[in-house]
Amino acid sequence: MNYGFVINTGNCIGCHACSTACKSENQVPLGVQRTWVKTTEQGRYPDVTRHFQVTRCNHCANPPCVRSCPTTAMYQRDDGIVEFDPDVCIGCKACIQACPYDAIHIDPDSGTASKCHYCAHRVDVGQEPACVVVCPEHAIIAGDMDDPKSEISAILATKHVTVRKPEQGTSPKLLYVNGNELALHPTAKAAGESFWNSDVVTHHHGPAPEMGDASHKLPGTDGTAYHGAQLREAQDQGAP
Amino acid sequence: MSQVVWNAQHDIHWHWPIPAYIVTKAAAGGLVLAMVPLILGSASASGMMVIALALVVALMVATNGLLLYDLERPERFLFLLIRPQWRSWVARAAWILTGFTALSSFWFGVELLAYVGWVSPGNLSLARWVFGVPLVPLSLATGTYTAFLFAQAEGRDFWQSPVTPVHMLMQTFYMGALAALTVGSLVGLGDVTMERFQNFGLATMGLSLVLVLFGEFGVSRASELAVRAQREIQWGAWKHHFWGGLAVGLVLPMLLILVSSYLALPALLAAGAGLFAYELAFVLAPQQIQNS
Repeated sequence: MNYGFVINTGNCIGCHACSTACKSENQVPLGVQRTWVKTTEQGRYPDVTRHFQVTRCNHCANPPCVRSCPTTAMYQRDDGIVEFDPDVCIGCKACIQACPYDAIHIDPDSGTASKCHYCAHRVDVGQEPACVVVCPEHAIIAGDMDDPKSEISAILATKHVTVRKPEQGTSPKLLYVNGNELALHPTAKAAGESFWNSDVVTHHHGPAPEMGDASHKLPGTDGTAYHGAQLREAQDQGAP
Repeated sequence: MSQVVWNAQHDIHWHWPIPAYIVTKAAAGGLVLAMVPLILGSASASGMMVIALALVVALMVATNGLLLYDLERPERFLFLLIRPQWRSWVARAAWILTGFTALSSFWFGVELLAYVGWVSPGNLSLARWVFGVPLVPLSLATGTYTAFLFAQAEGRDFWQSPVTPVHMLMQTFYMGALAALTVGSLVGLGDVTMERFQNFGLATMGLSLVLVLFGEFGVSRASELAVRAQREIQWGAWKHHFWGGLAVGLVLPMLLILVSSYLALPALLAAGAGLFAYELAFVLAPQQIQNS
């Protein structure tokens, strides 16, 4: 098994249904996102094009966040999903600094690292991630890239795809069909002091609020995650 | 025209505690490195060692306190020790700091007891070997591991500099030399030893200045993101921290101890303040560049 995403940006209409479905499915707090739609514009009126790019964790084949996590709170499952365990995260934020894609944040409710986890709880019971189910244009395709009969493999066999920051050597498994260079690259300038439909929010600081009954269970470090998923070992920097 | 009209906004996660603890652990590690060669083989109790190790322990209490403060879930800090993931430099750092703090604290206790006459000269000499020898590699690791921790933060291209480990080693050396000069001026250490510390401090501060300038202007950066951070540090929002940090943290202390080695305390304070300002720019500027 080798799970990945293909995003067909040509099909995306920027409805943000994936973002809200993720919020709802995973109880993501206000102010942070596990997936979002980066929106860029190119051209000069009246010849202007708007590009939508669904942006999230790349579930890298060689994830730097896993390598840098000191407690195995960030780990890679044997099926390729990069998952996290909020019960053992200490909030050191090393994974956030290690991620070249800004895909990880601190959950303001729990004070622990959080990100897209491929809706692993749904995948484990045979369902697709919430964003895939809700997308009205079938712009998000999830599946096993090692299965030649899967839809994602068929797309990868026939379409040209691009990834964000290939030079980082992380082997991202979030692949874009019709990826736009401006949206893929992080250094394009913002339109102004604030975005078109949101202000710049005040960043949260300081310790996380009390969690009440925080049962600090200690999952085994013997190659299994807390719900029994098999772990892959962290790899050397730059290894394929 | 091209522009981003919506994107997720990202917080800056490592703030002032990171540069602050770089300063405190550099001084602690460097001070132990300065003291060990002076004291190995000696069996006489020394007020200098009591003061020096008390300073080391205080600096390490500050270091560990800053690191705990920086954790979002500080009550879980023991996870670093009981379930470490050894490829992570944060986990390695936890063990390095724990070892350094524990050994230097025990050594301080023994020196204190020897000073009040409760430890025999023979046992004191043995204790100095037992604590001093393993503390040499631990001091070097304490002073420099952050360079490798930064390098593991692959999301910050600016931190991937090959000069950083050598620069942090120099920081450890000169902060230690200035701390040793400060302790020496308090207890009336001999002129020859004071002159050695003075020369060593001057040499390592000079080398550090060359390394910073070489690292910032002589090493080409691998990506646009790294170049943007570099420009912000040199000529942008962080220029006062960068240039002020070099002036206050390296040039001023060199001038002070050139005037007199007994100006070590103001030189140490200036070096610490300047190093903090420089590291604040080094830590924060790359985080201000979006990765998405």
